[in-house]
Amino acid sequence: MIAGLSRLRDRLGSRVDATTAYRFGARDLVLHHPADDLDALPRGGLVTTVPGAAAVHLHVLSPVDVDSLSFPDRALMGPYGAIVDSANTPWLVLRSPDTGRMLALDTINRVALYFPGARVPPRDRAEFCRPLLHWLAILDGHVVIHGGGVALDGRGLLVAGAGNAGKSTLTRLCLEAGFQLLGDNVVEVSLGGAPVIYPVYPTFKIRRSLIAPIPTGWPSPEWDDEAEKDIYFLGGGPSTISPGPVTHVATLILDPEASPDIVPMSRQRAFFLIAPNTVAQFPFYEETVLKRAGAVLGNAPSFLAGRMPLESITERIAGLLDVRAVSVSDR
Amino acid sequence: MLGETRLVVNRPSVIFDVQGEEAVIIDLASGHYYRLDAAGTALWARFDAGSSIEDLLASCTNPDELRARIDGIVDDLVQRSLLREESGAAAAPEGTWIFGGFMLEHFTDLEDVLGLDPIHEVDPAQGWPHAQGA
Repeated sequence: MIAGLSRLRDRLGSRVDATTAYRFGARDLVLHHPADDLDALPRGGLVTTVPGAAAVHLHVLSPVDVDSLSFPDRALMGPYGAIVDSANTPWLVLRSPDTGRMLALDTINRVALYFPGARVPPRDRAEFCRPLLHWLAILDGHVVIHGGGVALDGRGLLVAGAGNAGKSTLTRLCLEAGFQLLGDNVVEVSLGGAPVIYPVYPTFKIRRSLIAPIPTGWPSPEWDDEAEKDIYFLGGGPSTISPGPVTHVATLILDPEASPDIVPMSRQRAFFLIAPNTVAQFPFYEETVLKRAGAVLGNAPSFLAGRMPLESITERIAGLLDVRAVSVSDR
Repeated sequence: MLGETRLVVNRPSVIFDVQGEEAVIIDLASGHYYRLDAAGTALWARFDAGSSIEDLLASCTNPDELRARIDGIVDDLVQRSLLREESGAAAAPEGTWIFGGFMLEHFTDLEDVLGLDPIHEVDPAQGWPHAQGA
């Protein structure tokens, strides 16, 4: 399998495909694809860019390319179809049992191979090659957190919490009030130095409800049966999406059972609420992810809140983004 | 009960990290995760350092309290596959410590997304691989 992937990587490196470059968290991603096939790719609403020299290259495979690969007869598989033994090689490999989708990253040369396989549902298109984002974040000393985020004037709030905790409602209301979107479901966060949150996917997955209105100007959504959510592909409009990384100023964890007041939270409690779910998103590097999720909480103070009155949410969040001087010690 | 055998964290399927004084432990094989209180985390750290039961008792400032509970704690952790027995010289950590109890909370809500699937074999009819039950 590994030798086949390397041969295919070399062969594709000399094939002349069309290329399109996108911002992909903290880096640029150059997509190599058949010239007439871009619209068929499940690339979501990634924001196009002019790639830098350190860009990661991703080759979109054809069925013929995939046929040239062989896979082991027996394999221990992790979540998302991770072929566990590939972690002992320069390659990381996923292969979806049901769809034939395949994603492989040469961790040394930072070249990825991707075969979308069968129809890619909206929820997956909304987060193009998310495992690749996770792997690259780890290789770059960062971590991808399972949570959303909003920004104001270059200051970013990481928002985490269990499903149905109100993350999307909070984010929607903030966007209506002029905040910028960092992410709805995942964001990339740097560690150490000046901590930074990177926006990645300009998409939004929302359960249908009338708690908070859809902001004006959003495109029509696509319905995802399995997730039972509307998926909004927001594009890269700078009025909605943060145009670049912002300073990680605070982390807010939402818990429907908690008081509606925003209160400081110990790092250990925040860690328990944020870390297992983040690790669960991640094939490979799990222990590194666990430790980096803890380190993210050292970037900025953490806060807890329950269901806040809708009319006061944006004012409270704006106040939270001005908390640089607040110190929260571990209890 | 375990003689000279030492107890070690069951890596690589078990991962953990300590924030503040509490540990979060994740068993990637089962998909279960655990929260360990501060006192339990002090004991867990001794296991992580390669202590044997004898080491734990010798370095503990209240060994009678530890002796009364250690077999049950170890049996539970081994049964959950969080610790495993290993022979060989133990690298006992230096210094004394106080046994303050042990509270392990168990969570299964992420089982489906954390756990490993068993080894898959090629299905001649369906190709490779197919997840269990797919």
